[in-house]
Amino acid sequence: MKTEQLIRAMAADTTPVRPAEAVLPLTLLAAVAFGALVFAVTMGVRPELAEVFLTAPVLLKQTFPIVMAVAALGAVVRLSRPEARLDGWTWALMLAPAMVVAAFWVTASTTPIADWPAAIMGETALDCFLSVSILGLLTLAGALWALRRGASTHPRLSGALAGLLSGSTAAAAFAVFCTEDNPMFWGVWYILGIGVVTGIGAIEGRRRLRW
Amino acid sequence: MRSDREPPLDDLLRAANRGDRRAYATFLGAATPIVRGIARSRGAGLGPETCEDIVQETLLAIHQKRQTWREDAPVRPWLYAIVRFKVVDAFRARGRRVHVSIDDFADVLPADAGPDPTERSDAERVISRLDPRSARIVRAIGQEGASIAELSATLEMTETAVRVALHRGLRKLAVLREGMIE
Repeated sequence: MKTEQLIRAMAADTTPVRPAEAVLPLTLLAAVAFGALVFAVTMGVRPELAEVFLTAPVLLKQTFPIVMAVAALGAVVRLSRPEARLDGWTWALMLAPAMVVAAFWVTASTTPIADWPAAIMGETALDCFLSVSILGLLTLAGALWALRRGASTHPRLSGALAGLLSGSTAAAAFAVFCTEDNPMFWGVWYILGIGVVTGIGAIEGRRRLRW
Repeated sequence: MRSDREPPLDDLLRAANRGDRRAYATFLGAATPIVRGIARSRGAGLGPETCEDIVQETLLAIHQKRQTWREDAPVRPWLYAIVRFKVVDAFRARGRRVHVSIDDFADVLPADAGPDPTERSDAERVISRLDPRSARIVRAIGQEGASIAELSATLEMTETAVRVALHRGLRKLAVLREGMIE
């Protein structure tokens, strides 16, 4: 088939297009909401959440993944346009890690070194790590599916950002349930869980976000 | 060049997104020599047929991803980014590593198809792997210039069904071409 004939066939395909940038955030949020719902049904909310919510460690534990998720969402939607660059989103992406590092550092500097292992390990390290990873991977599957509508020219980076979004939302949901509030605990295990989902997102993105 | 007489690419694609097929054909027609210029400048030794296959793959990608253009942004950076990504990808699939930078679009001369028509291309082989009905619709519209209405009558399908089959056929075409080279 000649190129001009192919063009004729494509021009006849006047199926209306909806702008990806309008649809993408909604489908991504649907994936995220689905993950959070699965979580709410299986785990629930810690009973004394209302009483402790306004203490600094709990507030931070709850907000940093949300800040991370918002930045990752903005960045990944931005990058779904082929010509786009991250620009200012790079800075937005650093905000949450800075919050975690600061919280970890402040706590560590007031904790005797002998108590560090206990503070980091807490009582539910494995639970926490696994819950964030597994819930995050569930969400990641939906997020990658949604992103196929986009046209990222950086599939691996887009995949990683999808993982960051999914892992962070999972962490935000898990934080509602989790009773361990020490920044030295969540600064390690939440980040590890999010990191695993981000890494798998990068690997999968390279494969699944090609077009 | 064409751009003196024809409306800017932005207007063409905007009209196309609202269902103006003539504007869309003009847009694709104007994009083709740009893509071909890039493909040929990188594909010395690959032969005109292979270069034209790469052009067609890239055009199919533009078609599949046209919803990712934001209408308030200039269309050329968007178009060039797709061309760059797809051309590099198509060469990689054929075992060649090429580099295309955005500056190349200013330097490379747009190329016409030339006298050698590419009937014997990948496209023909890929179309024959579509389901028979989609293959027939893509061929009838592309090669014979049939309209949706005519096909709806001869195939005893509703116009909507013909449109959907064409749409799916083209999407499948893009996926198959991506997969068949490797």
